[in-house]
Amino acid sequence: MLSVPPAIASRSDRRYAMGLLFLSALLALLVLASLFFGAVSLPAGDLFTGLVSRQASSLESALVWQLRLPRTLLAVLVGLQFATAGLILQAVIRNPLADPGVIGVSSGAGLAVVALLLVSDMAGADPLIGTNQPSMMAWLPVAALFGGLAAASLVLAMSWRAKLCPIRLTLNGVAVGAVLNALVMWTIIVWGGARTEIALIWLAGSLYGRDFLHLQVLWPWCLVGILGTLALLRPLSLLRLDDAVSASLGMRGLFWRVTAIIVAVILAASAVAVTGPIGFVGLVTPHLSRLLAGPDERSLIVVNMMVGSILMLSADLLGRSLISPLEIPAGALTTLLGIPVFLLLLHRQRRLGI
Amino acid sequence: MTLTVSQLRLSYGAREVVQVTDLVLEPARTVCLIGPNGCGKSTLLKALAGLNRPTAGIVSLDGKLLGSWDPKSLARRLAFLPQSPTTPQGISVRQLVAHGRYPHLGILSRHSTHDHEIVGWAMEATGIAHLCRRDVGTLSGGERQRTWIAMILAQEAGIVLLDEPTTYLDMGHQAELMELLADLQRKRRLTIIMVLHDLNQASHYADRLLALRDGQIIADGPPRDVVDSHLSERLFGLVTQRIDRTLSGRIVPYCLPLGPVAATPAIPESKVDKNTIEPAKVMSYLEVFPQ
Repeated sequence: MLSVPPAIASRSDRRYAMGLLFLSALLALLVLASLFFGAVSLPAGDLFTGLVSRQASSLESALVWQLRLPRTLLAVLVGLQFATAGLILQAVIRNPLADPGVIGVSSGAGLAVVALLLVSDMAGADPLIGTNQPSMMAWLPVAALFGGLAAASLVLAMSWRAKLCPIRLTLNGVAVGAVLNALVMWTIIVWGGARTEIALIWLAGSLYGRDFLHLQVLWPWCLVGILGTLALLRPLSLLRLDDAVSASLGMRGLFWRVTAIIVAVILAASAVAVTGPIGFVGLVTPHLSRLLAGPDERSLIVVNMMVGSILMLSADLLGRSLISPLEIPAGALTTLLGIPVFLLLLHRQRRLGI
Repeated sequence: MTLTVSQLRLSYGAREVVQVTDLVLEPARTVCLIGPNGCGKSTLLKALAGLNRPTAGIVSLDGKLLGSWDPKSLARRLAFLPQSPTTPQGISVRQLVAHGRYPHLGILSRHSTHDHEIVGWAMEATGIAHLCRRDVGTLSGGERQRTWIAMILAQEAGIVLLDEPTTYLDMGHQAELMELLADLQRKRRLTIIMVLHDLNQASHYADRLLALRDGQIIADGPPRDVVDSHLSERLFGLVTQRIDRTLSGRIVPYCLPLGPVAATPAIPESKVDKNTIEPAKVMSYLEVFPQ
């Protein structure tokens, strides 16, 4: 807290500590629930022995280690990443409606994935290369990652001459996103092959069938993103001020804006690469967290990460237990749940007269 | 700390907005920039803050070009507040004021006790300490402006540049803010350089008045030497009656608007350019408002 009289500081610190404790407990509970519930129900004892023994021979162990654990961990990381990317972008673009989609990350990743599937479909038909689709599938997150990075770089390059002015950035991002989305749809419709279904499932955004391979792709990017976010702590709150104000406070505005966007893109693109586009986590989480954490930036970033993980875990958990053994894609569910929450927030803000 | 300008030219694209050959701004004075809309006064102020790149010429602080200062060490010496800055959503008064400490902090260092004290002092000095936990967006115009001033104070810069700090405030709050600035200037020995659009306000508070028209300085000096109908006609096309008032031993000229130049007989251009004022044309305050 910044220069708060001791009495007030300890009171709000205590509130913050209680909040963190509550969020941690909720997160732990959801992680356990995510390991317990699924298409096959496991007794708690078997789950525990499966978790501890890690012998590939037993069904429980295989189920927990190869399916549920990576999926749970991925949900935690991906939720955290989308939420942090949203928080950063909302500050940089100075628009409370910004989310990772706004700089073209999701659309770029989508196009890369569809293109890869198309190529692998063609390759599958090729007698020389034969049917080595499994190896192609392993490249899917990597392709999505670079697709997302490429789209974001394009948006940045287009806005460079305007010194990354927030409005130009948003407009360019929306334009690039729209064009890429149109290309995705066009590819799917024209191609119409057997793999359209896979493409559509990927585009819905889900954690179905994700394993440790995805976790291996994700964690280095997640780590870099979190470290970058920590370096951004103070500049980020200054980026919300007018350029003239932050410049006269001695901040190198352009440098920090580029850095912030790069960190957000790293977080968002790697998350999209694993799950496909997940709507509304990046948009709603910062607003929810602000209600919980109050205005202090440090606590906000931590609370925001936890809330993101919690939302993503609950969406995934609900998605696979509501109509079990079938699944609702988590991406569809976050959008379904996100919109009412969002409208509620808007309503609340109007009532407060902000 | 002295700001020096020499052979300065500022332009937007191909259009040249400001030309200043020579200007030295001495420390611990209040300087007011005045002129009609679009005369380039805000552009000049921004250049003095190092936020505009000159097309030609130099702006330097203590003999060193503004552009070659490290941004943070420049910000510790020179603060700038634009006209009605946008308030970020959901920011508290204390947080906004604490942003003023940015140039004093390293990238990862936390606010020290000293920083806390300065932030507290800045809020006390501007009379907003009781609002410290309020959302800046919910404050009144006067309170919000005082919050921004507090942020600048927390910056602890010796030179303070303000662009129309009284815009959107009513007369009472304008006077309150100007008194606050005058008081801070005296106590902290600040150099205040501000753009004002009210000639009388500038005349009241300035030690030195710089009048700009079409990007050029057309009058420069203490208000009692430069403020009269000649000035108001050249700046605003307004014929005025000068009224002198003595405030704590200092002659403060005021201009009472009479009407636009077209409606009143024109004064020959030859008589306009001198800065000395004919005693006959000056009325004293007591003549106009007998007590």
